[in-house]
Amino acid sequence: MMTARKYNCREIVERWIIEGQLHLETPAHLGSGDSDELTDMPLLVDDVEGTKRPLLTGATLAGALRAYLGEWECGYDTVARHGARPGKNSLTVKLFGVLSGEDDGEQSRLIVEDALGEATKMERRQGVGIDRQSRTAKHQRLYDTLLWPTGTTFKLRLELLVNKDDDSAELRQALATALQGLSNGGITLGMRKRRGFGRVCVKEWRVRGYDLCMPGDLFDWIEQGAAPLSDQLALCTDIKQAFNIKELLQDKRAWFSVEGGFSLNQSSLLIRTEGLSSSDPDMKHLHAHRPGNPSGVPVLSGTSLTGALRARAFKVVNTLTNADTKTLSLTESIFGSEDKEIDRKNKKRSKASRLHVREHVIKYAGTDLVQHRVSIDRFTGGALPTALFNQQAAIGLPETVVTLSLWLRAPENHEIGLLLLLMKDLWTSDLPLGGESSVGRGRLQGKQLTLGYHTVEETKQWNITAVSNDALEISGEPQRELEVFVDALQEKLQKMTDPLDDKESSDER
Amino acid sequence: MKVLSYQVVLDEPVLASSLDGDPNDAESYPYLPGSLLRGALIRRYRQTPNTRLDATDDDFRRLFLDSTCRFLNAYPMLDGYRSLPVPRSWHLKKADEVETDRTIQDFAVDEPQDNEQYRLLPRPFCWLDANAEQVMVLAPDKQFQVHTQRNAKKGRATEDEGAVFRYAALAEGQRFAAAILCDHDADAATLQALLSDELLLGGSRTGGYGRARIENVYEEDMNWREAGMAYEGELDDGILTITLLSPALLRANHGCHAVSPQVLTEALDACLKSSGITLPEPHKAFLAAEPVGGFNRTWNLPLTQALACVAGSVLVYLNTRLSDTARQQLENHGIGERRAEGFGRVAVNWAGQEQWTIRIPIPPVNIESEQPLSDAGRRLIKTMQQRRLRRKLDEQVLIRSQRLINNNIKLPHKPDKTQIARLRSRIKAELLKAEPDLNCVTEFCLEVENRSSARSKWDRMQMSDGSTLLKWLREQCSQTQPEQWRKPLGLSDPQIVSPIGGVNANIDDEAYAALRSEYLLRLFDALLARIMKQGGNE
Repeated sequence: MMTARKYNCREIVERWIIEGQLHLETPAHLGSGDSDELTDMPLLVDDVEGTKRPLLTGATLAGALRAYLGEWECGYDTVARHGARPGKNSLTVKLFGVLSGEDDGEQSRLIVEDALGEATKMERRQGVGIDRQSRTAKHQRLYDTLLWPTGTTFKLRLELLVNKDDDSAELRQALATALQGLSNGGITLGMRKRRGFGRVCVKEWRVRGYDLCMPGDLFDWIEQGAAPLSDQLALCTDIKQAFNIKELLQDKRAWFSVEGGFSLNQSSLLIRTEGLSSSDPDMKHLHAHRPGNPSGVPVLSGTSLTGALRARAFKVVNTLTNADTKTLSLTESIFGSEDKEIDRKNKKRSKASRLHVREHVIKYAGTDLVQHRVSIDRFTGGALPTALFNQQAAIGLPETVVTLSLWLRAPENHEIGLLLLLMKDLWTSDLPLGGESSVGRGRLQGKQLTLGYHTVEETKQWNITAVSNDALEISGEPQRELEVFVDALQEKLQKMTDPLDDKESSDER
Repeated sequence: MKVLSYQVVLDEPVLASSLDGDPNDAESYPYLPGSLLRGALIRRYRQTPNTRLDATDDDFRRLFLDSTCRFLNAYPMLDGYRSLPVPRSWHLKKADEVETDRTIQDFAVDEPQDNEQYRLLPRPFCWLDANAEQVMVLAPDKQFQVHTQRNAKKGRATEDEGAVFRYAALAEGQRFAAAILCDHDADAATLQALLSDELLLGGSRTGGYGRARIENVYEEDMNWREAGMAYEGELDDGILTITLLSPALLRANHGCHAVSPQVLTEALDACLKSSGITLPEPHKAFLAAEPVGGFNRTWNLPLTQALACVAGSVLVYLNTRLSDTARQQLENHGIGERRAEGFGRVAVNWAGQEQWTIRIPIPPVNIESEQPLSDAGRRLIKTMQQRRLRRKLDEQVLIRSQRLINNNIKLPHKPDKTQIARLRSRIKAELLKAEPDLNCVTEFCLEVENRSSARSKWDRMQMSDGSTLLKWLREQCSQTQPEQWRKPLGLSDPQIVSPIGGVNANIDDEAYAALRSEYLLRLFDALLARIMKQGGNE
């Protein structure tokens, strides 16, 4: 007599296969986590076929999608700020499974495959740590890193498994929400992804579903399930349409964004890189590779911009409070931990930056002018021997546009206030960017700025435009509301300096 | 009676679990039990049209259940023959290893009167070459694999379902020989039709275990004897030796399974009853017991465990003679229970020599004629060779740079780190290109030489012969003859990696010429890095 055996398995009833082509919009460091004798931070490459191809591991992509969906579903407040995780009944956990170490909960319903990429070459960038007080390079903090250049592509392939007890539409909605983070720039990948690296874009998708309860679909999946969808389906730009859903999940994130255009008129910008051939000048402004432009284009790197903002924020708050340690905690809460070594020694938990900064191309700047300079001996007034050098900065022209984009996750009012003060300093050429500020480089002038405050309940926007050299036009939400943020900063700093509020302040942090 | 012989080749490891081992272990028998093969054939029989899987069906019962057809165990093949269990009366000197030319003493024939200590032969199977008085012995290969139980829904091990367990399975690639004895000729034809293609055997069949295929099915002639060699008649002095060729399940008078010389003798008596022979008390007995079980897939339940007399057990009777008919009856039908599954096989007067010499079979080496490599194979080997070559060159870069800094570089003054860093930056940028060129170093050297202050800084770094490091760098870049440019990399032999499949990785080949620039640049970079480190802080 045959007896039916009860299998303790998932009983998969649907499979959805998703494919798309991911492009890098800014350079990305998908590292191997190792260092070699040539570079401090080499890239993860796949050289099975004898050529070094970029490798985007499924774990990297799945982690980014999980984090994005968790923040979208539960808000930055829950996930990023307080270190909490989405609950076990959340769609994030249903789709991606529980995190390792947690015994309760099922495995991921999403299979994310490793993606091999196509890249023309590697890009090398150098960076250096800047001392907070002296504003000079820190000793032994020069590093170099390899990057995959803009335009590198990866073929993505994911598979969604829907179990018998699952709500298929709900899972598809969650996955579509996560994937649209790849389309709208919400997801960045790799190292220093909050400093402008690793911005990605997937413009079009191919999605095919198999209902395994239907014999036709089942046979199709067995026969063609492993084949690329490009042979079978057309591309679809609308992720909702591709997944046959009406709406994405509700966005519960809150952030403050700043986007603006600045001019570099009567100034220049020099984020230094070395000349790499005898015909190059000693110092050149940082250029990044772009498809179709082998010599590269001048960029304002996110690391330079953030470094300048962090230093100025520290200076602003320190000036107003004259309380060093608390100043540090306020800036670190926005910009992240500055020195992980010190954090480790003090057994302090490092924080990631909540400020996202994008890397942008400097448009219409003059980059073909080489300036020859010489150091002057301050005692004799004559030229120093062997101190002749030349530089090729990005020269500001009347039409030059330097674009800034940054946004602060889960902001508090006083933090927005601090950010506004920083923008004011940038706008008024008080805060120089890049090197050689002492000879007048790096001074921006504000032309136009858009400020956005997004919460679950509302979205506010202010547009600030320079109408002449000394006048501004502010449109959108009432101007007074911006003042509230700055007042909140002053109030906060007041509390920080007040000894009675000392305990309360530290508890809050 | 008809006998169907066949061979089973394991394409995957097979887990024919015995009851040995720890709770978290599954230890396979060293052979494929007849019950396993019978179960696989029943499954195949069920798939043939117009058949019934019904214990009350006469055909089914006769074919598989009532011992009319007996499915013998599949034992490993040795030198092209089906091996048999080693008699438990065979002993080896305690200090002797199991190796060629060692002597085995059969205690069933005669026990040596010396002071040596003896032990049982630690191999389960053998094949006799009676003419040469030699015996080949064998233990089948096993594959040990550790697995972790996981929850199928959660996709991982949990606290409740996360046991770590070990499978010791028969390794893949081995060949086993088995036979089916059919009392009715028609049954042999039915079963022969089932003996083909692939079978799934044993446990964990969905986990990468159990795939095997049947080969060389043929009908044996009338003189077939499981013991292999032809029966040579009775031994002198009427000595009768009974050897079990498979485990035997026997019951004592009180109804329980038992293992003793008396129970075994009673079982033999029962089989010989029709011949009118009654065996005396055994003169010698070499017995052991083991628990046996099994699993009935129809019931989906394990079988009751029972104590069986192990294969290779030997009984010796004196002054006993068996007629040829009685011997055939005993050898063909066997004794005890579960005879349809190969239990209770018996050999009469088998291996009746006092001593045997061990011969360890040398595994055949299949030297096939050299096949030309396919294009894909050649590409793969080329890639492998390039990697091996690069690894070798990587090692050389580190070794040679250290040697140069130890033996050839003099640093009377601290080196100028800025100058070194400038050259290193150019080298690194060049190394990122698809085809690095040494010109970047040459150009840098020319620039330095035209600038007196930079030149003076580089002049601080000298070679042991008094020339400057800058000059040495330029010299290395200008060397194009293989024996010259290979020198700084310490490569005296151009063929630094051995060929694979006729494919070389010779660094003088055109295909590898690009490596010259790359690895000289890497050597320079490693050397400059060490100089910076050695020089300390200014």
